Amino acid sequence: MENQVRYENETSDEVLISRFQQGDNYAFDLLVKRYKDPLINFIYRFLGSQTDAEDVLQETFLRLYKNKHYYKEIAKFSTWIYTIAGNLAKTELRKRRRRTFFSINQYGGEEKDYDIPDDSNNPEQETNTQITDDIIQEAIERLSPKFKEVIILRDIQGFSYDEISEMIKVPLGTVKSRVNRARLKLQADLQHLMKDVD
Amino acid sequence: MNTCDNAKAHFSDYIDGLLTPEEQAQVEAHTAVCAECRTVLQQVTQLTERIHTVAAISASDAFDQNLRARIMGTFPADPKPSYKRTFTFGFSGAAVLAALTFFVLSTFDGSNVETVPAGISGAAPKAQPELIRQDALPHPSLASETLKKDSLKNSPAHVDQKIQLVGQEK
Ligand SMILES: [Zn+2]
Repeated sequence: MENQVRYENETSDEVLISRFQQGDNYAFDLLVKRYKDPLINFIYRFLGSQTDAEDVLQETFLRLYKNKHYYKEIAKFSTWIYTIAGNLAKTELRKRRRRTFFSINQYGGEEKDYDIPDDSNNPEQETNTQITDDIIQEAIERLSPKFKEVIILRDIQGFSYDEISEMIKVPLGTVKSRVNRARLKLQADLQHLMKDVD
Repeated sequence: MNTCDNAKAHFSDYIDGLLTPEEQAQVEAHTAVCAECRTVLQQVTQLTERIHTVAAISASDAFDQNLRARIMGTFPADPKPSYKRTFTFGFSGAAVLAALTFFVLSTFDGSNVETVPAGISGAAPKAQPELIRQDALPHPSLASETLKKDSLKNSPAHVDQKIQLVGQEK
């Protein structure tokens, strides 16, 4: 039992994928166990729906299962699996956009689709508490995919710029500039909820 | 760095502490004299910190079981078209899952149960046992092949003998 726990906790992702490639299916179990929560959080930020996020997450692990031999040791496993999940999430977004092509109320517009709280009398220290998780999620969803992707990887998942650059195959400078612009867009979107702190 | 756009281009790095001392001083020099950029920087900083604290989402309890079923549905066996597996699996998939559950449960001894992780292998066992009868399987050979292929079964050594016997039929 102790050995089991130690194996689960201390075996690196790269060792696990290598064992899975050699036919050890238990290693696949462990990778799923290790990554399902971080990945669903990641995918959910794109889609805003738990059900859709679980579908995409299943597809992600299905790809891992099916394409295990495509993984090469030159990359970190985390980078590889996040790349797969991110691509699938973006594909799902594109499908949605096609489905809602004729819909008037599109994501990405300037219009706010939530009630703006009356914050005129709130003291400034409440600035952050009135911006709920849902408000942030909706604001992230209004970003275009390329900004959404980097802000999720950087500010939700906490990856370094180098890691993000590797994941989305975009030069480091571009990643940094996108994160900067994404943060400015969120600020522009939500500034009406924030008090001046001057 | 005397224009607002120039200053704003460095806000992210400023917040992340990635600027050189000179660059940092330039941002501060601009925001000291430009009220608009000062407000933007304060709000971007606050928002970024706030986003870091957004509550994480977790996968549902049913996730492992759903994934297991989906993998079994996608990889029921080695592709041999003459077997019409794709077609037959559609009818038997639920039964196969139930059977797998049965075999998993029936082949664990106490120590196995203890060492099975709470991952996908551990997520399946709670199916209704009354549904799990061998004669409920329309395609036992398919079931056995699925079992042998099943990536989610962590201890192939514990597969019951009778599964192998069924598998030997083909
Ligand atoms: Zn300015």
